[in-house]
Amino acid sequence: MSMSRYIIALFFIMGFSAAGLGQEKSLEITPQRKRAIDSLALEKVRDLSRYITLVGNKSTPFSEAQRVIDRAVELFSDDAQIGVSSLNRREIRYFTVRRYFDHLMALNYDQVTVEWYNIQYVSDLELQPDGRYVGVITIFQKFTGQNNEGLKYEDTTKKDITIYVEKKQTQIGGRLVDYWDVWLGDVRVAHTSK
Amino acid sequence: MIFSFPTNIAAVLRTNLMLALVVFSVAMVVSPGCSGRKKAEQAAQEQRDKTIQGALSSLKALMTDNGMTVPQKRAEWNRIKNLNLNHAEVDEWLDKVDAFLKQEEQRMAEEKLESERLAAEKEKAKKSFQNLLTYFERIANASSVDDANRHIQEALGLFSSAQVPVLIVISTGANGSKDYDRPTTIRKYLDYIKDQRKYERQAEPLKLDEQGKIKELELIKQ
Repeated sequence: MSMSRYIIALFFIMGFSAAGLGQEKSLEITPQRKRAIDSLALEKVRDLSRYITLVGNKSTPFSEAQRVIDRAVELFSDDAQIGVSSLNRREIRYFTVRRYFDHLMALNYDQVTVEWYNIQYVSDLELQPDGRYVGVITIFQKFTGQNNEGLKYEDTTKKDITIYVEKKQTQIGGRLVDYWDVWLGDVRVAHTSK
Repeated sequence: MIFSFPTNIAAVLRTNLMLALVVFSVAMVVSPGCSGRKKAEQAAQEQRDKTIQGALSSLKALMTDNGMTVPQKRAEWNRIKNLNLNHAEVDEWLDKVDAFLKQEEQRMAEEKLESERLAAEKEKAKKSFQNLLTYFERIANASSVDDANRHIQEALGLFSSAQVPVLIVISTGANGSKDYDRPTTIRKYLDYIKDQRKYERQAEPLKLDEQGKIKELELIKQ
């Protein structure tokens, strides 16, 4: 009796393992598709960069900035945080995405420019056991804040952004459409310099 | 005693002999002609039977997918009809095939109409996309937020609603399967153009509603 239980349990385990392997195989992607997804993720980061520039720009109307913040928030996972550093303090502060943008809008400068460059993968998108692809993109941010009295603050920060990619399905016009959902996780500060 | 026929009997015999000779000669002359006509009639009948069999075979083939186009089938049907075979089975098949071809001709006419309608719709969709591209360009290059918003409002007039779905193809597999970005709406996409100052320049044929407004947009990433 005990032996038969073991055999049944073994069959179950083997069955689940096979199903798991099958699922993993079905989620594997061709090099062409991988390139397209890599490129899409990089584009999302560039889009974020532009949103940060728009919100940071003091000449952007308030209503436009609010709308842009809504769009930027949609790029992230719900619990994502963005790190903020300063040459004037040691610790790195982390904000939720909406608070980060509110903070950016409220900066006490008359002119703010935020520029992102050298946007590239430091960790390639890799398939995880939960079926998602996870990778890390690094960016360099040049921040300049200036007031009318001529006071100017400048720094350059290297930031690492976690990227998540998952195949999802939705219904459009009565048909099912498979799509690749790319969203951003935490934006971590790697280091800040002058 | 010498036996001799009376003169009148001899004359009768001579006359009968002559008559028999004439009848024989006529029979010899006429008999071969009669046989030839029968043969000719038989040959004509055989030819007619052959023509009827051929006609029946052709008519039956016209009801199948024999590689002929419908107009070719109709021409063959006309040829057989013009033979005027006056044969019950052939006439019956002529009627059957005629009914079948009429159905096929109607189907073809409907297909032609549908094809013309699709071509017209495709042309309309193409023009509509060209029009839309002009708006994309104006929004991306707008001199101010107000200017961009004005173009966005005008562009939205091309759509069934501001919530029309926009799909963006990021890659197409060898088997034609498409990979999409997260679907969005036209309102958000037009705002995206305003914010990012970039847009996709290619699209699958637009889906239009009965008023000719765009009801679904599928853009292709370059």
